[in-house]
Amino acid sequence: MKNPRGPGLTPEHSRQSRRSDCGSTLIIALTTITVLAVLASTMLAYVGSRLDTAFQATRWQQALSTAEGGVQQTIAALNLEATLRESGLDTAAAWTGWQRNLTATVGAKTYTYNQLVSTDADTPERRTIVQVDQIGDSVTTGGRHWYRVRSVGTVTLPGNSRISSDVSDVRLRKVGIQSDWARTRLFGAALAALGPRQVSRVVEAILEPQSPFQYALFARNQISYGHMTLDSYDSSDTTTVSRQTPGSDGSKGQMANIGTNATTGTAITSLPLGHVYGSATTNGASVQSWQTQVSWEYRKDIYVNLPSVTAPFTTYNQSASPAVATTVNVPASANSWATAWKVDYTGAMNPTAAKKVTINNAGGNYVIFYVHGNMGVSNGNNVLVIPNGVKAKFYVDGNIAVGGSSVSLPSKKPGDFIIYGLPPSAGAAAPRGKKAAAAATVRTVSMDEQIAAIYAPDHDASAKANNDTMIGSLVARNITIKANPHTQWKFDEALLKEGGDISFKITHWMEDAWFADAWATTGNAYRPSN
Amino acid sequence: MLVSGLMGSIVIGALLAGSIHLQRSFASQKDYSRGLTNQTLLVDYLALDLRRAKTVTATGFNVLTVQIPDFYTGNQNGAERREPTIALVTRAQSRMVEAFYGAAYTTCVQVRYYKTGTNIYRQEGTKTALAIADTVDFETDYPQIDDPDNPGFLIDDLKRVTLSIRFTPTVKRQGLADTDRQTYLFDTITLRNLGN
Repeated sequence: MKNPRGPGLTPEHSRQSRRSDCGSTLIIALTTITVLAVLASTMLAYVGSRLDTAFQATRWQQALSTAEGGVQQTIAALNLEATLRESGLDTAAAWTGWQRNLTATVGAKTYTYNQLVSTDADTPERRTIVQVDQIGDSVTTGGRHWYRVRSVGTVTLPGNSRISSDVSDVRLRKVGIQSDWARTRLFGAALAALGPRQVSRVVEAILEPQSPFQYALFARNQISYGHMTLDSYDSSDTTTVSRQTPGSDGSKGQMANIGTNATTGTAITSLPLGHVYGSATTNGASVQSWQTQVSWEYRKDIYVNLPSVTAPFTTYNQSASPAVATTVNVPASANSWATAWKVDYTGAMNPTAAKKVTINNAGGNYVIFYVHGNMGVSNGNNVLVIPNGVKAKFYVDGNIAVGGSSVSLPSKKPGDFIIYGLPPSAGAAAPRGKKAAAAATVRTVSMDEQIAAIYAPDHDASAKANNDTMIGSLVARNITIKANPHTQWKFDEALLKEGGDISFKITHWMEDAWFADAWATTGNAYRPSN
Repeated sequence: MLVSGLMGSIVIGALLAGSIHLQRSFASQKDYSRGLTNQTLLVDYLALDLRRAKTVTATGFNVLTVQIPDFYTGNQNGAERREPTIALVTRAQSRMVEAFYGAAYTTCVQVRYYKTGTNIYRQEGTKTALAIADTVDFETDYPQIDDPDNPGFLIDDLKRVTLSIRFTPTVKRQGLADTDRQTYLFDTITLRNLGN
């Protein structure tokens, strides 16, 4: 009988052989799977760690943007608050969306902070907490409000609760797995947690208030002038008395800045013989061939906030008519701009020898005129009288024209004669089926060898001075100056403290990120010190 | 037997070769990944300090010195922050109210980045220098550029520093020049405290 398992193979042989093959295959397969599993898990752990590190780096960058956003929101709120204050409106509206004046105690210190919660439903994982403090003594700042803004931007972290295996990454980013160093440091443990994992960055910015008169000449759009030299002096300098009056070119001060907000083209054109003892700035536009004309710097990344002028008041102390001569006696109670004597001038102000506008110091120093029409002070000598010790502001709802000898200003300080130009009111809305009202025309400023500070960002300005001196500051939409053959523009640095705060700029910027000695050797965790 | 032995050798050889290439590939990926991470990390360190710098001095390849505000009162973990000072600062031709930290307007803390061996260090003041990255090089460019609208007129219009971080992988193919396998990472930082 033929063996069905083949020649020489007994059933026993066959069973043994099959059992042996099956066992080795299984062992090899299991070993291979184990090796591959170990390799895969090692790789996954490595890749996962790198992925978490990458996510943490991304969120760390977002935390800076979030903190910066808090600073920018603060600036926007302060700017709006300044505008509302200048207009005599309730300033609380500037802080809509903020929870203000919250407090937290950390150690022995109590902090006051404001919380700005993200209102964007798409980014619930971000939050900004801002602490705003007024800083500086009133003597140094001239009564202006400087602010320190501490802004903490916090962003939640995705992924696992593990930090990077790279110590320098941990040292830099300080991600919060169990607590948040930044918010704990500033506001205590109660505010520390936004989520189970988060990263924060802290920005500290110092905001400087901006006067309308930061520049000798500033235009929204274009500036054009002839042979002219710009420099500065400081009528308020009690340390160096010789600087209180203008001097020869650049000898008393070099802060006569000139600039525009223009973004393209050539924004400032001039004849080549002048000189700017200060800086020149634009918002992207260029200037014309100025290789040797600017003493300090020429920057093309500066934007200056120029809010339009609004009506100064609705209630007033005195009404004056253009039909007759006007005499204003400023009482003793008018000893600051907040308590200034308010005069409502009911029409155009065109004083003449027969209809003078005379201000008397009756114990007080501050007076504000609201002129409901054009202001033309160029007809006759000394037809507008501003005596020593009086500071006068004129809000003009029309064109402005001032000439040197028509204004009696014995102090010779431009800060004592400030003019604001209101923009033309917008054309009335067209009734249904009717033609719209004509667009409002651009108003004008005309200066002739004058001492004044004029802020009229919606007016087109022209000035004229032949071989003479103009003193003060001029802010307008466009500026054209006919200046021949050697005219001088003298900027009074005291104007930097005049005119209220129209905006704020970051004058100092710091990110609170410290690197401790101990980290390199002991690996101590970061912790708040206070 | 001979055939099966030959086949087995081929299979084992292929497995070994594949394993070596896989290992090499894995090592090069890891090296490359680490290089990229180091580039990013170094950029972030430099950007943080440049952003708050008051002055910048680039003294050559792999060396950068910045002066940052004297913001902290101590030298320990969790150093206390200073209160800012608002004061009148008199210069040659101007008197300005300025904000600053520390004893005077000119008081600063020096932060220096430099390379020793394969490591790049960050040293703040007199503190211990900390190694922050390896296997990378860096250069900085703080340009005084020609105004394109006015040729010949040097402007410094945006207060920016451009960083260039270079990484050269250690794993390389034979015959490939270093310059052909280097990876550059660029970043441009605006110096927030200059020109204010």
